[in-house]
Amino acid sequence: MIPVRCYTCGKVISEVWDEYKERIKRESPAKVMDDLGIRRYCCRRMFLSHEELIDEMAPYG
Amino acid sequence: MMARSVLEEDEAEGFKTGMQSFMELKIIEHGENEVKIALSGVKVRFANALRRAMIAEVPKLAIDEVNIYENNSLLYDEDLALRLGLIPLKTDDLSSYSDEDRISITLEAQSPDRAGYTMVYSKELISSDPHVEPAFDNIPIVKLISTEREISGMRSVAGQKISIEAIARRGIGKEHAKWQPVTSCSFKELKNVPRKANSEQLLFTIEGDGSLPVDDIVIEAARILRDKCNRLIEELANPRE
Repeated sequence: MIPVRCYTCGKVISEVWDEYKERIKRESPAKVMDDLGIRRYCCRRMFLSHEELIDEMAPYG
Repeated sequence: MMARSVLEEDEAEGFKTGMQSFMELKIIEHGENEVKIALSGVKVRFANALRRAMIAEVPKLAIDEVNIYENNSLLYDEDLALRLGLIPLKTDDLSSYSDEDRISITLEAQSPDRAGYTMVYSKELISSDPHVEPAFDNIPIVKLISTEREISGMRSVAGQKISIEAIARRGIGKEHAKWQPVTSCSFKELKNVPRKANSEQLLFTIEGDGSLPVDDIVIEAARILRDKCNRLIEELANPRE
């Protein structure tokens, strides 16, 4: 699960995660983040470095 | 003499002649959740007091206690409680809430009957108070997954369910960052502007987290600073034994 807020500055970033995930299939992440108002590099790394692992855990739940 | 030496040269001069530098405020940019203000005629230390008041002293609502009746999702109870706490709660009028008030917010969700999943979003939180609601609708809280299993020819679906009551409370950023109404809140000195004597120009950038309007955060912080100074004056004027 994507963290609700940016670890560093506290901006709520999870709200646009679904849209980001969908749009990076076609566009460059940098452009999508600019569009979504994720400007600071602390917030941008939250998206770039996030890996959705919850589905891998599901069989063992 | 001792007290004088604490003051800066120009300030001391101002006191003597009765001249004061006046604070000037110019709004440079005003977005929905962000405001940029140019402040001049104040000292950096005053601006810093204002900045710190905005971060640590302006109250807002946040979920503080969570009763978990059912949770067999992949997130632990404490993970779930932490995620709920970080969701900004919006109120029209914060002054109508005291520190003792408790607002109950419930959340019930379950995974589909067949194999598959449902994403639980912040919009599914049901508040007992019509004036309190999550500031964002699409914050994912948890993914509830139904898995199909086959044991010796028998198929069955294992589902997941959460049933939660969260209690929101008014608090300040000093206690926990979830009660901090601002995210990025900073100022810098503007260089290369024609400088009037005895003043710096400061560029404030204040970004709210969605729970309070940014203007209100600045106003409330200023009010808090004033109240603190008033309390100091009162205490000094009528010292207690």
